[in-house]
Amino acid sequence: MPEHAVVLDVNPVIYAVTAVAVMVAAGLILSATLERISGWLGLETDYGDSS
Amino acid sequence: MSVYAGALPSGLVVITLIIIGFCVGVIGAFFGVGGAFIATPALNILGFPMAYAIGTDLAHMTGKSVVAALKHKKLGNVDMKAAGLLLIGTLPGVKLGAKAVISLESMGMAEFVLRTIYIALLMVVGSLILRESLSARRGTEWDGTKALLQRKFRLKPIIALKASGIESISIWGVILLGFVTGFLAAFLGVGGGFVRMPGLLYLLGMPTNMAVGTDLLEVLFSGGYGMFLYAREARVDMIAALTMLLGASIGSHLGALATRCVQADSIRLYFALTVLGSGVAVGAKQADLKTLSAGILLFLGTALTGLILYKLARGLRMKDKRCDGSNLRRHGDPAND
Repeated sequence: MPEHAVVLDVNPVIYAVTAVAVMVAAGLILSATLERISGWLGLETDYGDSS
Repeated sequence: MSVYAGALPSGLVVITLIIIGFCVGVIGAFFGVGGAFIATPALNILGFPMAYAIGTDLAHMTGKSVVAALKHKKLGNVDMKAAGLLLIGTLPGVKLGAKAVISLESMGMAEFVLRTIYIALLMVVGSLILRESLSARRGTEWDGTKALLQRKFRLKPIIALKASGIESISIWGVILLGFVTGFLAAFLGVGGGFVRMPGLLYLLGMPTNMAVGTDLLEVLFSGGYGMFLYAREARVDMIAALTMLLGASIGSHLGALATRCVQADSIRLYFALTVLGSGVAVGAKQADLKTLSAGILLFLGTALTGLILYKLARGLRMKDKRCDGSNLRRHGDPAND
């Protein structure tokens, strides 16, 4: 076990499901934040839909 | 029951994790792959035992794929219908691939067989894409309507994938592709992007950018499932994964944007060189040259990130001329003829 290890007292399956949900939620939050920052910085152009 | 959730890293480790995440984010979103071939050895060098390196990489890949897939969706690079059908085939493919590995392990030959197949596959896939992308640069552009699954596999029902510009294709062909790539991903223990992306391009006939975006949506599901399995065994360092995600999300955003600033044949050329470079690195590892192998992968990671960011910066400086999506050549477009 490494130094400063964080150990949780929880069921492994519940932990795994929560961990996946945390990563997806973090991705969604970061995505929305980056879109906003891109807008402020003028990194977005009117791409339209290529489909 | 106690579960190990991670360890508080030092300041230097935090910066290194963010840089690794950033590089893998740029490369992953640009090529439509998870980037495990670079992130896992990098984490291993940083001191993570192999199982934790894989688990932590899969965790950051899950979050990163959300950012990259959403960005590609916004750019119109995701075919939702194809992604759904691929997923139907991917899940049983992954299950069968995992069973095949367990059978090989029981025979005591998993390590050698898997690594040999992996090297062969990287070399063959890389060489084929390299050959095609070089001929495209000479003016013979790949025509998606000649893709194997569009021409030869006509088992009904036949559907259209309008977002990808595919007029007619067997529904079973798309599911079969998902199955085969899912099997290979689980069999070789990789995310599968390096076989799925060329599969979407050359077997299904998708345009390059659409293959990149659609593949990233698949990476989200395969990465999420892999993360679940590793987290259940307490082999994920969540603190490191979230730290990597900070860099990876910025990298993914820029990498996805860069696909608009680079010609489709150039994306395929860079992809081919990356796959071939990875093949050489895995070959070096097979020959017990671990330092050389890690060196090749780290060089590949930093050089590619630099190249992609340079192309993006150059494209953005030209203001809408290069980054307006005009690089997206579609089958049947006059630009293609």
